[in-house]
Formats: sequence, C-alpha cells, structure tokens
Amino acid sequence: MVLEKLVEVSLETLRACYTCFKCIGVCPAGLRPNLFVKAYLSTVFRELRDVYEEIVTNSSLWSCAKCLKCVEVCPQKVPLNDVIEYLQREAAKRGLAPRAYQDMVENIMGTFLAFGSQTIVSRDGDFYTTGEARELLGLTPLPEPNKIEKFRERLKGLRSIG
Amino acid sequence: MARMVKLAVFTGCFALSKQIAVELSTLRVLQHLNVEPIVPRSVNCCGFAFRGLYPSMSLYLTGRLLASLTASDPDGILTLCNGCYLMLREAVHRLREDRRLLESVRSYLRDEGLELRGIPRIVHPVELLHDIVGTEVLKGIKRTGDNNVLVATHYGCHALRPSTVPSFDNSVNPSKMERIVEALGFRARDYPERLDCCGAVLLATNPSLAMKLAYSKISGTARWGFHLLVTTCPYCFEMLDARQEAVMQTFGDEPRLPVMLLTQLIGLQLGLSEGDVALNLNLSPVDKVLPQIVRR
Amino acid sequence: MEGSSRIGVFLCHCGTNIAGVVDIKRVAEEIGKIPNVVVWDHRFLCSADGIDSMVSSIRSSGVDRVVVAACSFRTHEPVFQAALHRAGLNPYLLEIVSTRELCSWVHEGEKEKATEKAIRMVRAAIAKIRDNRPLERRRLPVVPAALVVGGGVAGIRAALDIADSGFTVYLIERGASIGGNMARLDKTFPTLDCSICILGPLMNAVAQHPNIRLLTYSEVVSVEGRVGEFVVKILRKPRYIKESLCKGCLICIAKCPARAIDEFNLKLSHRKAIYVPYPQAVPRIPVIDPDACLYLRKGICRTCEKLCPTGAVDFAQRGEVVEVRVGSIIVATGFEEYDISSVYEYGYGRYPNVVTGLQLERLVSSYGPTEGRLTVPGLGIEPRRVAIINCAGSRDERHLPYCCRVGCMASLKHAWYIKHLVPEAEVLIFADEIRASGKNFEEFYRRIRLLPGVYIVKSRASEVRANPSGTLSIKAYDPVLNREVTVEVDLVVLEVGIVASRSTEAVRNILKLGASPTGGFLLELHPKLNPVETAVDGVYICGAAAGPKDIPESVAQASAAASKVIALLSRGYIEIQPHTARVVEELCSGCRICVTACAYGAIRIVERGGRNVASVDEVLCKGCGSCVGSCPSGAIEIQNLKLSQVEAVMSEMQGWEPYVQRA
Ligand code: SF4
Ligand code: SF4
Repeated sequence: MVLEKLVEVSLETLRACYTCFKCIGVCPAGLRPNLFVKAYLSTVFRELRDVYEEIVTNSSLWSCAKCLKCVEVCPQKVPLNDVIEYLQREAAKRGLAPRAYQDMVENIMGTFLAFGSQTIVSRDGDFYTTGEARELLGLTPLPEPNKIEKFRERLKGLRSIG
Repeated sequence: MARMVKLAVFTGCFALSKQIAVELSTLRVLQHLNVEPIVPRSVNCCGFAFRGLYPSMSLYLTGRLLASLTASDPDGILTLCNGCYLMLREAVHRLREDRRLLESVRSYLRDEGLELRGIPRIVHPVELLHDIVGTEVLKGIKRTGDNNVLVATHYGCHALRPSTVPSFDNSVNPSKMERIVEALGFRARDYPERLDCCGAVLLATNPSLAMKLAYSKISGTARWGFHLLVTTCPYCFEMLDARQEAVMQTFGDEPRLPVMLLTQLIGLQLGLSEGDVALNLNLSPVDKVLPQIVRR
Repeated sequence: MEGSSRIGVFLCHCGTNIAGVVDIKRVAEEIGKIPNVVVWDHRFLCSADGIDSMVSSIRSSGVDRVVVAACSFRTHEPVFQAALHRAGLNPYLLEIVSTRELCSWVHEGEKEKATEKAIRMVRAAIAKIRDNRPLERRRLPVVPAALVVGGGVAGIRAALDIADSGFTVYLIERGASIGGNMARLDKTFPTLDCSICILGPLMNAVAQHPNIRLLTYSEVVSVEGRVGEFVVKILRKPRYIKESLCKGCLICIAKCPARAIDEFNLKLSHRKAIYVPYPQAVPRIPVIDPDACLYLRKGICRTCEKLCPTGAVDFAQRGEVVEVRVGSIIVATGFEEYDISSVYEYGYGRYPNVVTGLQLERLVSSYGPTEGRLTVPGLGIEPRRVAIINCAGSRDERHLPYCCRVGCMASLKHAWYIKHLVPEAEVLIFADEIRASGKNFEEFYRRIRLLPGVYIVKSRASEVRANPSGTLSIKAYDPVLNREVTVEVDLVVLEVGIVASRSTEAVRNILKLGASPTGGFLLELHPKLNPVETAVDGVYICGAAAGPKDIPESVAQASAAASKVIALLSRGYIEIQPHTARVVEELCSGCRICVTACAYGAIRIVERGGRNVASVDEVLCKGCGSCVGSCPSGAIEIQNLKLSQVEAVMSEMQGWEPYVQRA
C-alpha cells in the first residue's frame, strides 16, 4: 500500500456483525454504530440504498466522538471506526463535511499548525494571547511558517485524494 | 545513575496554543527526572483531525512530523497530547509493518528535503513516568501531600484505544497511571467512568454533544468522592478543567471536581511553585484540594 | 517374484464421480498396453455386484496382485482387502489409487489432464505393487481393565457402564470428591430436577461397585504403552487421612481453627483446613489442605488428630505413585468457566455483586454458602432486581469464538431460581439470541417467559457499571423500545463461556491428544463418524472436555465411549497393521539416530550377534517413515513401501510421457 492509496481500507470483517447491539449501548454520543455497518453494506445490497442515503446525509455521522469504545467492545471485532470514516469521506465528497475541518486544513496550510493564537484565561480572570502567555512563562514562541510553499502544495494534492 | 534519556518533545497544536501548562509543567518536571528534552522548532500538525477524512494527507503530516522530530536523533519521541500520541504510534505501527508505505512516505519527504531515518519509539507521558523514569524514583520524592487524597485517573481514549495499535498499557484495564499516583503517595481507585470519553473531538462539529459527554464524565466521576482528577492530555484537560464551569452550568450543576495535569501534581510534589507549573491557568476548583497536596 | 507377477487393474467409474471427469475407456486402453496387466472396469466397484465380479475376475484370470483405481483407501481399503481375501490373495497385495479424491474431484474442469493424471497414478501403482510382499496382521492381547480420567458425570457414567459389563475400572479424580461441576448445580434444565438428587445415587454406585477402584485426590503422571496395554502412573496426593481407617464421621472437621477459600463454592465462602468439599461428597473422607493447616504450616494445633476416634489422621502421609495396567483409557476431564474478569466491560472481579452462572448455582444451593437463601454478595440483601447477561465471553472474537451451548438454558433456569426464591424480584435477561434447540428447551423458554417479572432484552448488554450505593447499572440497547436503556440492579449474573478444565491440558500432553485452538477442547478423530475416538488408538473422550455440552449429551457421549471400550476389552485382542518399519540388520551401524527420530518410541537398540543394531517394536510403530528418512545407512524400510517402490512411483508420476505425445 502506498500513501495515495490509503483510503482502500479493508472493511471485510464488518460483514461479521450479528446485530447484537452491544456497540449501541456503549456509545457515549448516543449513536447507532451498527447502523453505519448496514449503510456500508448497501454497497452490496441495493435494497439498503435508502439507509445509505439517510446516513450519509444525516448530521449524526459527524457526532462520533472517536472514543473507539464501540470498536473495543464489539464481539465480532467489526472495525466500526473505519466504517464511520468511510461514510464520512463519502459525505465529504458531496460537500457535507462540517466547515470546521476546512478551517483547520487552511490553518495548517498557513502555519503548519491546526490552531492559531488563542485567548488564555487565568483563574484570577486575566486574559492573555497565546504569544503573551508563552513568553510570560518562558516558553518558546510558536513555530514560524517559513518555506511553507511546497508543504502547502503537497497538502492540497493529498487532500484531493482523501 | 543511568544515562540521561534524550527525548524529542512534541507538544501538539492544541497544547502549544491553548493549554500551555502542559508543555511548561512537563519541561519543568523533566529537569528533575534525568530526562533531557529536545523541543524542535520546526514541527507541524500531526493530522489527527483528518485521520478519517483525508487519510493520505494526515499520514503525510504524521510522517513529516516524525522526520522533524527524529532529526536530532533522540531516544524516542514524547508526545504530550493523546491525539498526537495516537497518530504517531499508529503511523509508526503501520510504517513498521509495511515497507512500501514507508518508502512512499519517504519519497514525499525527500522532495521537501526531509529525511525519515529510523522509526522511533513513541512515548506517552504516563509511559515516561512509569516505565522510563520509574515509580521507584517517584516514590523517592519527599512527600508533602496528604496520603488520604483520593485521585481519579483519566487516561483519555486515544492513549489506549484502539487496541489494534500497540500502546503503553492494557487498553481495557490500564493501571500505570494509578501506580504513578500511588507512588506519589496518594490513593487511586478504579471507577466506572475511568475510561470514558471527555468529548473534546466533538468540540468542532457538535459542541453541545461535547458538553454532554464532558458532563457525564465529570458528574459521574464526582459521585465517587474523588478529591482530584488528573490527566495528561491537553484536550481532556480543556474539557474537564477549562470548560468545567460552562459544562456544569449547562446542565444546572456546579463545578466541583478539581482537575490537574499529572505533571502539575508531580511538579508540586517536587517542590516547584504553583507558578512553575502554571497552576493559575487551571480553571477548575483546584484551590479546594491544594492545601492537602502541598503543605508549605 | 518381479516380472513373473500378473497384475489385475480395476477401474471404478463411481457413477459419474470419476467417469464424469476421467475418460475411463482411455485409461483402460493405456494401461492395457502394459505387459502382464489385465484391466477391468465397473460402474460401482464397491457395490455387492462390483465386489462379486472383482472376486471372480481375480480367480478366473489368475492375477496375483491387484490395483484398484477408485475412492480413497481411507474409506474403502477394508472392502477391497476383503475381496482379495475371498479371491484367495493376501490382502496386502493390493494398491488403491484414489482417482476420485485426488483426481476427478479436484480437476473437474480439466478432463483431458485429469485423464492423463489418472493414467500416471495407475501406472505408478503398478510399478509399486510389483515389489509388494504378502504381509500378516498380528494379534496382541488386551488387558481387561480401563482407566477413566475425571470423576464428573461423564466419567462416572463411563466408569459405571464399563464396570457393569464386568471389567475393572480405575476412576481417577483430581479433587477430593467425584461429582464434578454437576455437583455444584442446584437444579438442571429444562426439567428443574434437583441436580445432586440425580447425581448422588450414581456417585454412591461408583463408591460401592465391586469393579471400580476409585482414586480421588489423584492425578495421572505418565502413560506408556499402547492400546491393549497402557501402563499408567498415578500420583495419589497425600490426604493426611488414612482412607482405610476413616469412618466418615467428620468429627475432625468441627474444631479446626484454620480457614481457606472454598473452591467448591467458587470462592464465595470459606472452609476449614480439614474438609470434605460438600456434604454428599464421595468418598466421605476428609482432606487436609496443607496450605491452610496450622500444623503443616507452623507445627501447632493437631486438633483434628485428637478428635478422630479411629486414629485416621496421619500428618506423616506422603504422596505415592501407583502403577496400573489398562487396555483402554477414557478422558473425561470436564470444563470450567472462562476467566471472565478479562471481559472488562462486565466488571467481574471488580464488583462483588457480579457473579458467574456457576456461582449463582452455589448462592441458591441448600448446601451453598447461604444455605439456599439468595443474598447479594457485597450488599448482603435479597436482590430486588437482577440482570442476567448471556454470552459473557462467548461468541466473541476477542475471547471465545464459540457458543457455550448451555448458557441460554442456564439463564432461563437462573431466572426461575431468582423468581422462586425472591418472588417479587424482577429479572432481566440480556441475550441477543436465545438458542433453545434441545428436547423440551423451547417449551422451557416459553414457561420462563410467562413468569411475571421476567423480561428478556434482545441485545447484548453493553456495560456493567457500579453506582456509589453499591448497586450496578446495566447499559444496553433495547431493540423493542428502540432506544438505549440503563437499568439499575442489585445483582448481575454472567452466563460465562466454558473452556476445557485446566487439568485437561496436562492429561492431553501426557496422552499426546490434539485440542481445539480456542477453549482447549479435546479433538475427536472425526467430528461426525468418530466423535469419541481420538488419534491415539484405545484412548477415548467424552463430556465437556471434548466440547461444550449439557448433561444429557455428556452422559450419552460417556456411554458411547464406554461401549467402545467394552467392545475392545471384550474382544480381548487387537490386530496391528503390518505396514511397520523393518531394520535390515546387515546395513545397520547402531548409530541410534532413528531412536531419536521416532515420535512413538518404537525403536530400541538391541544386541545381535555381538553387534548393536536397531530393532522396531511392531506394536508401537505407526509406519510413519521418520526413521527411514533419518537413517544414514539406508538400513530401515517400511514394509511394502521400500525406497525402491517410492522411487518407482515417483518416476512414473514425473517422468512418464503419454503415448499420444510420443507418437
Ligand atoms: S457490537 Fe459489533 S456485532 Fe454487535 S451490533 Fe455492534 S457492530 Fe454489530
Ligand atoms: S467511536 Fe463514535 S460511534 Fe463508536 S462509541 Fe465512540 S462515539 Fe460512538
């Protein structure tokens, strides 16, 4: 496998789901992880196409906290996380990914980091910017976005593959 | 004394920009523990947020990060954030298993003049304290705290899960953090919410659900009479400490669980000042427990 | 003999099984071209008609060796050997070519090539059989006694069956009493009859049977020999009680000051250092636990010794190894519960009020830790609401992939216990499926469903969590309500998956038996046709050590194994295959390499005319050929599979060019 082909994750074992519902009871976000399995299976059974449509367009797809609890308790070792991420990519192809992801990508392209300067509050109610607080505490300043052109191109290219 | 361990420290975007006490308290504490930290300046985001959405891009980011962090030829990489820890341990795991993938990542990096030489060991802060520094050293710290302080440990999801990628402890029943707390002279205890999610990943996409998760974690933990909760991850810390007041108020409750970084707790035991570990940035009611932790 | 022999070749069509792929006519033509070979074919050679015509063809043509190209020798060798015998030929002048399993079935799409292959295979057999020699089977006597390892219900049943037919049985049990896990059960499903009430009489029958030698508190240390005559060494661990003097009054127990965890009650209570596991134990002879006894640990006390009216207590007793000879062995070492604390989400081992199904049996038993009053461990109250969680550790790729076969019915029975003892309690069973395929099982399932206050949630429980009050919360999804539920309960019962008992592995290693990759269950010779036989002749298996099963199945299998043993013992002899290794003594240098190569310990070095040479015990030899490959002097051969024969086969299979291509 090479970097560009990473999306071809093997989802073979998810057919082993025997709908015991254990994953549902454990999900802190109140999702139905095994419903995602059903949706994925629609790539095989056309009858489930409406389930697929519903899941891919439903915002609950983006409510997964990625806690991986469902993956850990599943008695059939169904790679639920891979399934969810697969469906998220499908939704993203239709432009349904939440804006926040794009913002973070943009940020990385500009600064190498996912977040820019933030407001930091102390228990006494003082406000600082990241830069101020770091300096005050003797920490190094944030990395500087030198020579970022190539990096930016690279990200753009790889993002388009997935 | 054993040779000084040289670790490249990766703080992670969120700890760099928001939870800066993570980096500060870690660096301060390491000075006392025979560990030499190297903090490279040219780093990039580990790609955690896009692990699912743009897998190739995110692995490229992780690979690039690995290259920057190994440039100084350290004994290992210390990641301060659980998200970065997952990304790095997963990348290392995959690159070790799959030579073609490794070559592919390398060729991308070479293009940018970066070199990914060896595949390094990825070290979690808990692993550093438990396995590298060792609980014996921690036990040797002169205690100032009250033995009866009951401490809740919070590992955070991505320190341990998924169990398909090796981590530093048993993914369903970890114990190293408890051993550390006990070595410091406090009491630790298993509790049902121990491995629960803080909700931080949802901050960007579903903030109200994130609050709900944090609430069930905090209020669930508080029921057991813990005096303090410790964690190492800046995201978990954000949810459990910085946002505790907001979280609790959303659900008509009061903030009541003091939360500290594990490195802050150790720092205070080592005799560092509150300022040395930036304790003034903790927003949870730590004042409640402080007198029992440090008697000055 | 070579050259002068005439070989008869019989080609079977097996209906279309072979002939549908292999062109029999062409095979017959090609083979017919070989000098001194006569060919016949038949649509069903193994039918009565086929065999008859085979016999008469052999007789009338005067062939003296036979090649049969048909089905596998594994199933058909005896049939064709008998035909040779009827025709007056030695049955070892037969070669069977598996043109079905090894040719037509695997080359269905390639008829031409399959036909060519069949020709080669038959030619190879002809090349080989020219050197076959007539062999004789040898008969060896059988020791008219059997060993049964494991004193649970399966071992008990097997021992009684064999003993009833007049043979001596040594029944070995590792624990202090026979009875096994069944003695722990309060009642049995689906009839709800009292377990010990039906088991007890069998246990006593064992104790009193004139043909049964009961060795409790004993373990198998080694087994040597072979079917018909196994030499078994048994360690009798010290009980510190002279069995011959003990009258079973149990006065000794009353005043013992030392306590230890009660294994029979599955760690739910304590017992004394001197104890019988439970009141109905057989034999009714106590045991002193050396890890708990104050005298054995610290040299003080000896209270029991003073109390015993017959002077049976003997602190000087030492373990003793006894040796018995038996013709056959049955392994019935039973099961135990999987270590369910590794299923972290169910909290076993962390919360005292999470118990296993077997522990619940003890909690409700009249001779359990609470004498039949159901009390929640840790809480000390009668349960108000109980959750039963099925498939704990079972049907789970992370733990045991298989179904335990008893958990579903046990969960229903357990619901009944709880309703019976605490009528106002509520019981929830969490089960994604209820498997009720046994006799009267479905009826039992309905009966339990009709009990008020019993609810079945059709899902796997997701998690068990403790509450500060000491109660537990079950999190699960209820498909009927179509939402997640959190149920607060006082007690959680886990229907835990089962694995072969710990001692099974030790016995298995001693006897060299196979085991399933998960669960450690003993491997049968054939899952359908030889369910109680093993790969080791004369060793049989039964009960839950051979796979998850309930009581009736265990008992039935025990009787099946016993009948195999009885058949063997009453025949009185075994016949051994003559395809054994033979040492050409002139070539042997006595180097001993073959001795180490033989996995069955069949080769010894003996003195012959002042020289050391290898000698093969024909009874132990399996004809595997390891020694042949190891011998640097080429001094060992397998009878009728000499190197020259193997070479002949190889050269026919590889080197032969079909006539068509040559022409
Ligand atoms: S836990 Fe696994 S097997 Fe059970 S329903 Fe969820 S995905 Fe399917
Ligand atoms: S990984 Fe997502 S779907 Fe699975 S349990 Fe956690 S939040 Fe629910």
